[in-house]
Amino acid sequence: MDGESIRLTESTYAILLAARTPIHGYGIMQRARSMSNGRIVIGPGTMYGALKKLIADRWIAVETVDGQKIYTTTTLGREVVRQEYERLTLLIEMYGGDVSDQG
Amino acid sequence: MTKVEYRLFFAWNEEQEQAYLEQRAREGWLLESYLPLRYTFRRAEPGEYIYQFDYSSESASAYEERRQVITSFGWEHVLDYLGWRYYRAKRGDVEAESLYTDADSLSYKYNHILRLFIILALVNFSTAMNMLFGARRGFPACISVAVAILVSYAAYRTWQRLQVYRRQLR
Repeated sequence: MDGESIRLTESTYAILLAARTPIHGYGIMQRARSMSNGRIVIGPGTMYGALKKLIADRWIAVETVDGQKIYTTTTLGREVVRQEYERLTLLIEMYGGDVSDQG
Repeated sequence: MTKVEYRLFFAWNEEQEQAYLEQRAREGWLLESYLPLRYTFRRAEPGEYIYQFDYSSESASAYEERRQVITSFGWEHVLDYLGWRYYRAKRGDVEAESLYTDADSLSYKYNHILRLFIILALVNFSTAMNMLFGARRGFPACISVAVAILVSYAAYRTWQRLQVYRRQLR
């Protein structure tokens, strides 16, 4: 992460937030849905593809517990999602900003 | 009790095939197996079902992990046919009614399907050229040409669909 801004898809953003405490795939979907007040519902194909990519990027770690895969957002993943949060906050603040030319 | 029906659906129109299978489920017939054009159904309690198709050219073992995630979300794996994987769920039993729910992953899925059609089109065109001008002349080249044109059209329709998802990503 060389200071370059990374844009996350909505699903990726929600998955990284939902997996901040260890959870299985179906649980990530349920958490993402409730955290977004029902707006973000992630299908299993999308979930699988996103997790695979996030694991390869080391933003999410996976371990097998009793034959079930448990996913956890890594420190790096948390840093990425925090940067995205800051980027989005800046965009939101712009909305109410001043459009005069001076300064 | 089972019944067999013959239907032709094109891969670029998967919504039509879904609607057909969902209608049969409403009438109490669940898809059991598929052979080219041939749908076999088994008798079941009539119900509101959703059908979804996944596509992957991976081997069964390479695909297994994805299949497990999909079934853990409440989907029943019905059958595999040449890389197309059929799933079914009772409406209300699954939270997302599609396997793929964002433009990013839908692009990924249709990109793979597009690649398949392009390869098939190229193979068929080269076979047709070989039949028309090459050593194996005299063969019914028109069949190969027709298949190549059909597959090219499938590639075109898939490409069009892909553009819709790609526009959403901009």
